[in-house]
Amino acid sequence: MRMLLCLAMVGLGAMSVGCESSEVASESQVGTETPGSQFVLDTEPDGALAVGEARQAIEDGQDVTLVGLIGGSSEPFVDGLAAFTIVDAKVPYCAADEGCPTPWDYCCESEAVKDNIATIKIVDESGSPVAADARELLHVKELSTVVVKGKAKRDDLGNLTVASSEVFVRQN
Amino acid sequence: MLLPWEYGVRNLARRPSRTALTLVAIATVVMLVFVVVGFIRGLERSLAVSGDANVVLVYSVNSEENIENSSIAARTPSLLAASLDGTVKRFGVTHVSPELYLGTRVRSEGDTEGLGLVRGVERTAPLVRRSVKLVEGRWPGDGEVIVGRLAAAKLGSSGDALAVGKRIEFEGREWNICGRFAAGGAAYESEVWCRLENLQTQTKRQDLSLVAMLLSPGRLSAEVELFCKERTDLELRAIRETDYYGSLQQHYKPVRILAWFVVLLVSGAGVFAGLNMMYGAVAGRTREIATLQAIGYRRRAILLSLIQEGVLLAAAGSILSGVMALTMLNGLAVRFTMGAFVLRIDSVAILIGCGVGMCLGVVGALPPALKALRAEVATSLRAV
Amino acid sequence: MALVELRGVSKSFRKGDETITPLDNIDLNIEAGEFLSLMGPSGTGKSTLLNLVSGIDRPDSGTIMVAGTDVTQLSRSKLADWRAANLGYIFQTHNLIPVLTAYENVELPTLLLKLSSSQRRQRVELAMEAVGLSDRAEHYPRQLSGGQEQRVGIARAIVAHPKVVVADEPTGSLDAETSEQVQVLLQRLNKELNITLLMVTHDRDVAAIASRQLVLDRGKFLELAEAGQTS
Ligand SMILES: Nc1ncnc2c1ncn2[C@@H]1O[C@H](COP(=O)(O)OP(=O)(O)O)[C@@H](O)[C@H]1O
Ligand SMILES: [Mg+2]
Repeated sequence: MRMLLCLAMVGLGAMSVGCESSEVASESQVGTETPGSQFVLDTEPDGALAVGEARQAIEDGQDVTLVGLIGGSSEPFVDGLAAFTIVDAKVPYCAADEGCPTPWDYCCESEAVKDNIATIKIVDESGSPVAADARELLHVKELSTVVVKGKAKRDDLGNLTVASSEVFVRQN
Repeated sequence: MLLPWEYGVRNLARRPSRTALTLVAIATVVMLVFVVVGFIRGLERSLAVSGDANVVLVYSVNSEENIENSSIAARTPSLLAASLDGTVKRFGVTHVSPELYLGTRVRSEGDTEGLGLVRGVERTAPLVRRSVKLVEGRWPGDGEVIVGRLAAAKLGSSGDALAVGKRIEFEGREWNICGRFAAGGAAYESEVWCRLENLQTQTKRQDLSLVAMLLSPGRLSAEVELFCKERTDLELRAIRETDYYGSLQQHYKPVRILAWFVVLLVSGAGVFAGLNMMYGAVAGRTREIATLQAIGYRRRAILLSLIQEGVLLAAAGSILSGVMALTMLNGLAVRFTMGAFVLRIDSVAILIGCGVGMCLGVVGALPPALKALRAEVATSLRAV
Repeated sequence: MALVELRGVSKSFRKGDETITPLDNIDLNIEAGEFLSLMGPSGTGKSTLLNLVSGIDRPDSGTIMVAGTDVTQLSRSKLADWRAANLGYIFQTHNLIPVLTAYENVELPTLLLKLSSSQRRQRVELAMEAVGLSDRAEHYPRQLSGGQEQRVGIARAIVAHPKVVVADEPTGSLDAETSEQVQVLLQRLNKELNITLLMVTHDRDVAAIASRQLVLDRGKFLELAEAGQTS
C-alpha cells in the first residue's frame, strides 16, 4: 500500500507541472465557411459599443449593439445552450508566447474583467435561449471578436446580459 | 503430433525446489499486477459511480477544480432556488444542499490522527446525494457526526475507533459518532458528515464550499451554468456532477499511466524468473531433446511442449495469486488523496493478471527452448 | 534394389583450421533383412555414417536412398516424419526419457503414427514382450538396471515397425553378461522379426553376431568375411 501512495504522490506532482504551452486559438479562420445559421449576420452592424462602455451607459430593456472578445473564464461557453461571455477588447489577455494554455480566461486581469464582461445568450423569436452549442451555431471559438445586436438586461449589481438573435463575427 | 502432456508436468517435478521457487516468484509478480490493476480499477470505479447525472454542483469560479478551496456566499442556495425553477421540489422541500467541505486532521480513539474529509450538511443532503444511505444509527444532531463506510480507511484508523458511540475530534471539539452511512462506492464513503451550522461555528466561517442541486428530469444543467455566467458578481460556476468526476478521471490520468508503467516493469522483472527457470530446465536436457528429434518428433512439437511446461507453471502461479487476490485483496480499502476506495479485482483485473502470468511462462520458455532446438541433433547426441 | 544405398557419400568436419573427412566418397548397399555390423577405430566416422542414414545429419555430397527415399533431399520436418515411420535408433547410452515410465518411453514413437489406442497398446506390449520386460512397464528408467534400460531402448526402436534399425555401440556401456543378453536379443530381432539392422561396435565378438561385417578405416570400407567365418 505504501508503494501505491508514493506512486500517487509522484503522479500528482507530475500533474502540477503539466501546464505546458499549447497552441493558442488562432482567430483567423473562424466563420469563413458556410455561415452557420439565421443568427449570423453578413455585414457588421454600425455603432457597436464596447462592453465596458455599455455597462456604464445602457439601461435595462434597452436595445444595444455590443462588441467584445469571447472569454472571461476558462470555459466562456455554456454547455448545451447557445450562450457565452464576452470581454471588452481593451482588457489585455495573455499572449501566446507567455505559455498560457487558456489565455481567454484573462487570469492575470481578473479585476479588470469584472467591469468589462457581459453575457450573451442567443434567443429564438419567442425569446427563449437556443439549446445548441454556440461554437457550432455561430462558428466561433474562444477569443473570437463578435458584434451582437439585442436587448439588454441589467440588474442592480451591474451585471449585463444581452439576449440576441443577430451576431456578426469579425474576421481578424 | 505433440508430446504427451505428462512429459511437461513431470519435468516440472524433476527439479522440485527450483520449480517451487519459480512458482513463488511468478505468483508474487502476478500478485503485484493484481494490486496495481485492482488499484486502478477501484479508483476508476469509485469516480465513475460518484457522479449523479441529475446533480449540478455550484461552487466558486476561483477554486479551479478543487472544491475544498471554494468559498461562496451563504445566501447562494436561496438565490439559486429563487432564480431557477428546474430543481426538484417535493413536499415543500427544494432539493438543494448547501455544504461546507474541508480536509482536516481528525483524531480518533487510540490517538490515531489522520487527514479526514469532513462535510457539513443540512437535512437536504441525502435528498440530493441520493446514493447516501444510513446503514446504522441516525442522522447527526448537534455535535454529532455520521461516518462513511471507508472513513476509517481514509483516516488510517481501525473500524472499531469509528463505531457508533465512539468519539472523534476535529476542528477543536469532540464529536459523537451517531451513525454510519454507505454510498454505493461513491467518494462520500470516505467522509465524515456533521451538521453544517456546527462545522461553520467550529471553523468560524459563514460561507459555504458548494451547493449541490438535484434537477428535475429533463432540465438542463446549462440553465444553472447560464445563471452563473449572468450573475458575474457571484463568481460562481456550475458543473454537472458526472462531468466533475469525469474531469477527476482526467486529473488522475498520470497516476493511472504510472500504475500501468509499474505493471510493465514488474512483468519485465517476472520474465527473468521465468527465463532463469526454463534455461536451467532445458540446459540439462540437450541430449534428451536431440533424442526426441531422432525418434521423429518435429522441433515445433518439442518447442510447444517446452512452452507448455512454462505456461503450466505460470498458470499455477497465476491461479494461486488469483485466488489470493480474490479472497484477500478484493474489497480491501486503500487510502488515497481524494479519499479512500476499495481495490477491485474484477474480471478485467483477473484477465490482465493471469494474462501477464501466462506471458511470463511463454516469454520465459521461448528463448531457452529455441536455443536448445537450434543446436544440431547430431552434435547434441554426442553431448554428455 | 537394396534397402539402403549410399552412393558417393562424403562428409567432412572443420575443427579449427584443419578439416577431417571421416567419410570420403563411399558406397554401401544394405539388403532388406540383412544384419550388418560396422567396426573401426574410434573417431573414424561410424556414428557419422549412422546419422547420415538416419537423416539426422546431411552429407556434403552423394545420395542416400533408404527404402526408395532419398533422405538427402528431405526438409528437416519431413525428415522427422520420415524417421518416425521408417527408422529406429538404438543409442549407446539408451537415452530414455527419465520422466517417462518404460511403457511410456516405448509408446513415444507410436504417438507419431496414425493408430487407434488399442492398436497402439498392442504394439507397445508386443515390443515390451519382445525384449522381455513386460513386467517392468511401470518402472521409471532410474528403477531399471543398465541392461534393462538398453532393452527398453531397443523396444522403443522397433515399436513403430521401422524399415531399418541403426544401433550405435548398443553394448558399449554394458558389462559382459548384459552385453550377451543384448546381442542375443538383436540376433533374434533380425532372425525372427526380419528386422534390417545396421550396428556399430568396436568389439570383434559383438560384430561377429552380424550376418555381414564391415570395417571403416580412413574413410573407406574393408569387407570382412561373411558371418560365422571369423571367430
Ligand atoms: N558434429 C561434429 N562436428 C565436428 N566434428 C565432428 C562432428 N561429428 C563427428 N566429428 C568428428 O568426425 C570424426 C568421426 O566422428 P564419429 O563419427 O563420431 O566417429 P566414431 O563414431 O567412428 O568414433 C571424429 O574425428 C569427430 O571428432
Ligand atoms: Mg561413435
